[in-house]
Amino acid sequence: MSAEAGRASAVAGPATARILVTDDQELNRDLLSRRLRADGHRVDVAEDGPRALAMLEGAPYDLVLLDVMMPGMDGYDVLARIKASEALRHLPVIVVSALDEAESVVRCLELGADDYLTKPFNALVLRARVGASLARKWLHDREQLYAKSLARELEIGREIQQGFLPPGCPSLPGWAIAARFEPARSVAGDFYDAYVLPGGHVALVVADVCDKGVGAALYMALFRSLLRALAGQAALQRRPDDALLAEVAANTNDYIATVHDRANMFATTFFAILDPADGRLHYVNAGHDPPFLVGSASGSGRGNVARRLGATGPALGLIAGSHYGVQVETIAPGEILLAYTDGVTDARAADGERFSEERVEDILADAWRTVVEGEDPAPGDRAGRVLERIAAAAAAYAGDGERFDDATMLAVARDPSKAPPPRTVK
Amino acid sequence: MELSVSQHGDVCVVGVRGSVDGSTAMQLQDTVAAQLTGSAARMVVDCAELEYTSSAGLRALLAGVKECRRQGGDLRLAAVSGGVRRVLDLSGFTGILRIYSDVDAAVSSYAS
Repeated sequence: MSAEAGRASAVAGPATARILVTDDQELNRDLLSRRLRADGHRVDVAEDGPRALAMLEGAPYDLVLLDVMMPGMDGYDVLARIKASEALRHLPVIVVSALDEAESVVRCLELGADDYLTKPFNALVLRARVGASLARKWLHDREQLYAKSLARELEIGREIQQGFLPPGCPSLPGWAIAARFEPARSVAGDFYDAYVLPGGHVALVVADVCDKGVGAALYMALFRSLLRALAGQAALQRRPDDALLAEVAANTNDYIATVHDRANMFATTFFAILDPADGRLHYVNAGHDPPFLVGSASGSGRGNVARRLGATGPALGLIAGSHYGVQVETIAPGEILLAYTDGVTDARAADGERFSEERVEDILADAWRTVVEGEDPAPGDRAGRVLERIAAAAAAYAGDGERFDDATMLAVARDPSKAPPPRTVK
Repeated sequence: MELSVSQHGDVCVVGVRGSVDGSTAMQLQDTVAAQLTGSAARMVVDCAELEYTSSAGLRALLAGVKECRRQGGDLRLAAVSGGVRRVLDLSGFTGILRIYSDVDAAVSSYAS
């Protein structure tokens, strides 16, 4: 095929199509099908509406020529059924009517017909209208194909990204750890991690790679892998938690800022290591929204005033040579840590106002109090239930509005210390 | 988001108005880059009317400041306030970008 011919067919589609001619008059069926076959099309005929619909269900057609006036099921009815069918609605229909049926033509166009032809047929007009309808159909089919392949690619991306998130959170006696991950699009720049390091301490990460979509998702995979690989290596070498965190943050930052300098990508990152034996939590906060640490009134003795785990250095990847401080907190019995990304606090109501840190803090404190002090049948799921409450409140707040940013939360809850249950003495 | 570009001596001032997010950040980045060709690479981004920026906007600023510095110049911010200031502080941008109270102060900072 010459380049010229290739280009022409790319616009007009293949020259021949499969066409169904529906008419109760044998003369009309023969006339139309002969002309269409002469133009190289493959033509089938149906003598009434029910037969036409059955044939359309049974084979893939490119176009239907449909007579309006037929006994029994008329052309309007057939057309309405085609347009009501999920499988057939994009199939173009050219209605065929007598010259004096202007009203019926209008009605058919309103019902979704592509075009119309008047009897007696003019061969040139028939060819032109059939050609135009087929060209539109092919264009539509190509767009559908493209949209489908794009959706498939994104679905593959989404599945692969899931593999860069932990399959579940570690289960440790005396602790409940849970996470929620809600991408704004198929793939996200947010991520979290929760895993047990060599030596038994628990690594916890919540991060937000700048921007969103595919580019952010690629860097999410890189940031997550660097953090995990470097931390695992350092833990094997028995580096203490504070030294490990400072090194891993600095090395990850320098890698991104130098090797990928031109990409200008960065990630605000909260990275902590928990010693489950005593609740000590070392952390680096690289430019990330400060997590909350909240106690139940009975558990911590500090009421419900949240502590915030503020920034100890700039976002990872921003500028090479940055220094990252390490802070230490203790998650006391009955306390819960909540790390989150700004997709949670920035969820907008219809009036444009944001969900806000204040609302998250209030709901966190309230949900935690209810979970700790209420009847709690499944202590292991405490953290998950608190996250559900916050997510539900944020969703209710945003209403039907489109989610415009990835939203991720990670909660680490320490069981309240309980006095041994009083013995019932009879 | 609306952008305006004006020249103050050899300093180029880009004014940003409204919100910068994923859909508009590239326009900001391209506008900054377009002013850099053949100039002294001295830029000021006027944030007086900037109401909000997502991380995509921060990335555009990061790209801008790096490119200016590669060319021996700088990109400085003027009149940053409210939520934008908070985001810049939190993410560590205030550690790498010089920020001035208004455009005049930012422009004249290049003279000294």
